[in-house]
Amino acid sequence: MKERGRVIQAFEIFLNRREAGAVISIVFLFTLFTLKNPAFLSLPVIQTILVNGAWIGMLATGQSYTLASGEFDLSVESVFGLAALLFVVFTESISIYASFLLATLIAAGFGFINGLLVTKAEINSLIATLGMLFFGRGIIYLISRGFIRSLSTSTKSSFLPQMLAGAIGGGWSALIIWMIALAIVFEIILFYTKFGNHILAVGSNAESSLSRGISPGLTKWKAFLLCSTIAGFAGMTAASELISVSADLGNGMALKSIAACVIGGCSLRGGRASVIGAVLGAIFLSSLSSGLILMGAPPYSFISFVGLALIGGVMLNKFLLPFLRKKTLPINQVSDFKS
Amino acid sequence: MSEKKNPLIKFENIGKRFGRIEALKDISFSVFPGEIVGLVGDNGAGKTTVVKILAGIYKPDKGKIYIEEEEANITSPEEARRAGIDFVHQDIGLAEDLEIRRNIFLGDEIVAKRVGPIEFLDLDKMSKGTKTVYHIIGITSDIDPKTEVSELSGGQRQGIKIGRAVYYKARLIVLDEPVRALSVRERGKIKNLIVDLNKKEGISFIYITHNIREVYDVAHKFVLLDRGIKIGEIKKEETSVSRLEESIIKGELVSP
Ligand SMILES: Nc1ncnc2c1ncn2[C@@H]1O[C@H](COP(=O)(O)OP(=O)(O)OP(=O)(O)O)[C@@H](O)[C@H]1O
Ligand SMILES: [Mg+2]
Repeated sequence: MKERGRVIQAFEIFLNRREAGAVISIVFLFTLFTLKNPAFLSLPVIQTILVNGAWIGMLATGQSYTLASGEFDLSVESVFGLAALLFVVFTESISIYASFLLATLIAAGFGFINGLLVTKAEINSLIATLGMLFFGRGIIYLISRGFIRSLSTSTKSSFLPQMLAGAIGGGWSALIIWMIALAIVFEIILFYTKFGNHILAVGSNAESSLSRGISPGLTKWKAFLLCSTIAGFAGMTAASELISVSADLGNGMALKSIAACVIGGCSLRGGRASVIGAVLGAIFLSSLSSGLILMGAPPYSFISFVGLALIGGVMLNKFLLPFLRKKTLPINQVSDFKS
Repeated sequence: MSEKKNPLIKFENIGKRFGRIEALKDISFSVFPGEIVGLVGDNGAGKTTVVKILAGIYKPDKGKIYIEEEEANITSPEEARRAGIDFVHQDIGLAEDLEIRRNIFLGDEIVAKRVGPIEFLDLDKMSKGTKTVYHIIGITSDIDPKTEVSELSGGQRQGIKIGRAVYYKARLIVLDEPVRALSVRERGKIKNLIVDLNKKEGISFIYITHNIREVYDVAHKFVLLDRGIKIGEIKKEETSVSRLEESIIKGELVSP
């Protein structure tokens, strides 16, 4: 083995991480926008990017589990919106903690039904969760009748909403902390626990997992449950931050959360995922929108750039990174059995 | 292989139908400790059905299975594993996107500590166990236990599955077309591994194939199946590869 510099070694390790694509994309965007406008690289801008990316980031955290297990969850955006709305509505009649708990349970109920449909009724998860997306949105309109519902003045300044979305000084919001904390906790669970190992195994090869005594159905079910519960939590942070919840809150977020996951190195086939990567993917999308706004791009054009960034991010993961890895890493020594 | 020993496993009058297809009809045979049995038959002969019944995936319509003289009631591959019977199939058994060490311990992960319902993996111990598996199957150069299974060759994958079975103290390993997708060189290596484990560890094997030539030099005894019927059972010293081939073509045992 020839000697390698520390820096090169560190670079190799970095390239081998699934998150590498998202990190490179973020650095690329920041370089580009900062060259255009040096004000881009500043703490307030970064804080704004993180706050704006926090909800997609949280949804992507849960989504990375369903993807890792080999499924999708499109219903997250409705669960997000519904939990936000219910949280607000419930506080009008019961205590805020009870509201939080009840809305969480209902969010989890969506995951339960998703899991039931996919693993027991064996309906394709794209169809099952799309159905639940529409169903959830309908319930939102039924409850709100299309009107905006807001937290009362006394409720919004109470402890829980402050915990979920309050300012914590220096321009930092609790939303950022929640996004990062969830990412770290669920990254650890995915890669360092038995449960996480089963999620990845089932996503990689359900039949093989079954032959080792792991129930693919039950494991996927847990992934759906987790994904919806996190989406519900994210929705309640949104209610706490926004105070007012409209009936279309969450619209379009599901596909963005999947986009964030894919940019972050999650495979749509399952078995390969990164929670940190998924959150970085969300931060990338948020950086993109902030940068475009700063550069004065027409507001509604943003989504086109999301599309391009998604395709670019996937191409980076698919073509450029493997190419770079081959350039710097020795091919894994293929070894033989003794004869 | 003295037949005075009790059989390790005994199939007695096993029958199984799938609708109108009679996949197995009154199949009986035994595997003795330290024996390698070649279970041979053409496509659709019922070989895999035998395995699936042993693994508890299918319930036989009739007949019994005995493990060391005791009637066994196996309902899942895990249960079979606990009874010392493991299975190596052509293409299932490994999660390709996962590291080797996570595959060796799949479903039976080593836990370092528990925090509430969360069980943290002991990845170092899993790496060490993986090296033990390497030792069992005689992998010469050091493959990092963190390597993804997708980077391994077909032969290495089969080797890992066999090694894993031995690591979990299997007494009988059932191999269903274990070398079908392998290169000629890797076939030889897997076959050598089987013979080696049989000699050194005394492990029994049921080796399933449709190609008698593939298993002839490995097995001690042959059980021939044809469309769900056992056409014969014969020891290697009482037959030859050409006579076995003739038997399979004719659908009846050709005696010397
Ligand atoms: N689950 C099932 N449902 C219906 N028919 C089945 C099922 N499993 C097996 N069969 C039928 O039973 C017969 C025996 O099948 P089996 O898979 O045991 O054969 P095999 O000897 O393993 O063949 P191959 O060499 O092709 O693997 C075949 O006719 C097959 O079509
Ligand atoms: Mg078969």
